[in-house]
Amino acid sequence: MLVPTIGVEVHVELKSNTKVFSSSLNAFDNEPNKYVSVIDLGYPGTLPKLNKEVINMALSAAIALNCKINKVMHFDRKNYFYPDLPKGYQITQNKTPIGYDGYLEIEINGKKKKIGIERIQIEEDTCKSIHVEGKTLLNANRAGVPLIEVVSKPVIETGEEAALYLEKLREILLYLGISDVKIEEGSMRCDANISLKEHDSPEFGTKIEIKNIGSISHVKTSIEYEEKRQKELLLKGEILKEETRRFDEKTLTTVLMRTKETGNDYRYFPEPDIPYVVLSEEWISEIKNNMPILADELKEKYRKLGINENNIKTIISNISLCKFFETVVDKTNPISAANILTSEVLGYLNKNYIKISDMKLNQDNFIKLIEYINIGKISSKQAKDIIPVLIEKELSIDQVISELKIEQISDENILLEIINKIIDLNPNAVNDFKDGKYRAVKFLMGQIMKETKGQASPQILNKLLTEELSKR
Amino acid sequence: MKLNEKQVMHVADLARLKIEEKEIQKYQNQLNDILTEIDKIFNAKISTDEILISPIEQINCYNEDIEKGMLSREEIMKNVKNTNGDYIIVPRVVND
Repeated sequence: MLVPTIGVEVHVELKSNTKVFSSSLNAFDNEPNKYVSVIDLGYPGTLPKLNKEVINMALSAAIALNCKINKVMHFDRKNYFYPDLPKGYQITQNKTPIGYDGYLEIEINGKKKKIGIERIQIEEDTCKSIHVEGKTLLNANRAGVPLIEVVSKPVIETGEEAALYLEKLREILLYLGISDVKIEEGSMRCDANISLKEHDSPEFGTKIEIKNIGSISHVKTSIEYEEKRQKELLLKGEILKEETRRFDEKTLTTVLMRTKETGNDYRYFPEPDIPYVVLSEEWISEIKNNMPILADELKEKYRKLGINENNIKTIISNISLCKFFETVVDKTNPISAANILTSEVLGYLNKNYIKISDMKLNQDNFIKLIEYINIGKISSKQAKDIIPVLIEKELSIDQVISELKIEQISDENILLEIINKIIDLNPNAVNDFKDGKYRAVKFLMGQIMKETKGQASPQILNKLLTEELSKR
Repeated sequence: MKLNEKQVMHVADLARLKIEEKEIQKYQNQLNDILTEIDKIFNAKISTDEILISPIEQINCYNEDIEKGMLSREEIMKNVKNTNGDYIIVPRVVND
């Protein structure tokens, strides 16, 4: 029986302020060739110098991914001639990757599985090339942008596992705050390696690489397609060749790109321009001690607070939302806060294409909103009218309530007067209540709401009405 | 270590160099002369497996994460042969 062996390689752009080996800005801009220095262009006689912040970021990734750390590192040159690489080599870490032999944990069919991580290495990005009208155009803004390459061990068994691995990796790097990890914008790029072998064979089959897959779901689809394609060829007795393919999003198939240069062709050798980097125990502990709380820990915290799984998933999958939630969760009823945030607030933001960073709703207003709902000062229904205003305008919740004239009547004396008036007008309902028909209460509630134009506080009304009816 | 003709062509190919048939011998000799020198290094008696990446004993040389001047577009384009707007035109090398 043929079984697949799958490994995934991910390149992630780090969001340091400047580039990895020069002091040019590390920024995305629509204007090409704007953030470029002589080092990024590989001018003769220039000397690259390592950005300390990039090491800090890569180190935090290595720690979060449970890697062993190479405490004495150097860099290597990977030589290849390609116009997007002005120097003729890429500075990378071949022999001493900052992290190695780590893992992350995925959950598949309710079971936890560790996916091994072979290595994490620091390297520089290349120029971005654009192919138009038979020409190749270069933009050097990306040249020298810091990358980490995260290589999984070839222990992934299905396309689904690969997708879960990537989602988890993305979440960890996002919560570390070291990258935007947006596949569609190229700050996270995924390649998959897949080979098939007889299940009892100790040797791996011929490795085929699928390059630069455009989304996590396409990683799954492309692996599943490639597995099927290779299986059919092997069963026909064909011999596969090492090659690089790309995923075609229209046909959902993989297409041949080029036969691969082998490792030897890169003629790696140590980069003499960058001295050794020695990572002291103190440095490593400092990074460890200052790690932000990661998604798994937050999920656990929210579960303990009794927030339901759907809400946890929604909050965690949106890091800005999660950051907002973290600022309020310990100061209010967490369950109500999660409910309101993931339904009314997020719903309105999504519908109107408003970013969380642009919304005017602040922590104080949000905490008061939850409090007012819980004490019955406003109803959930009224909250739905208040939230859009709080999101759009810089007003306090009290200003919004008076502006919208939607404050609830929660003064018991006023309510009692209205309740007794309505009860007197509806003797049949009182009799129904005495016969144990609960719908009588509902009917009277409706009449009182009509009388108060919906402003009676439902909680207080319900309590008082039941009390008054029992007295009759 | 000596390179044969096929290996010389392979090296040329990796460097994207076009070599005429009649030039192969010349480059083969030059490359082999270099490799003969390098062989002397391999034959040196060494007592450690540790590699030395630089004769300088300095470690941990860093830039802080602060921008310190970049080239203007004019400066960049000074050394560029062909341009297209603000882009640099390079030989087309897509082979998929």
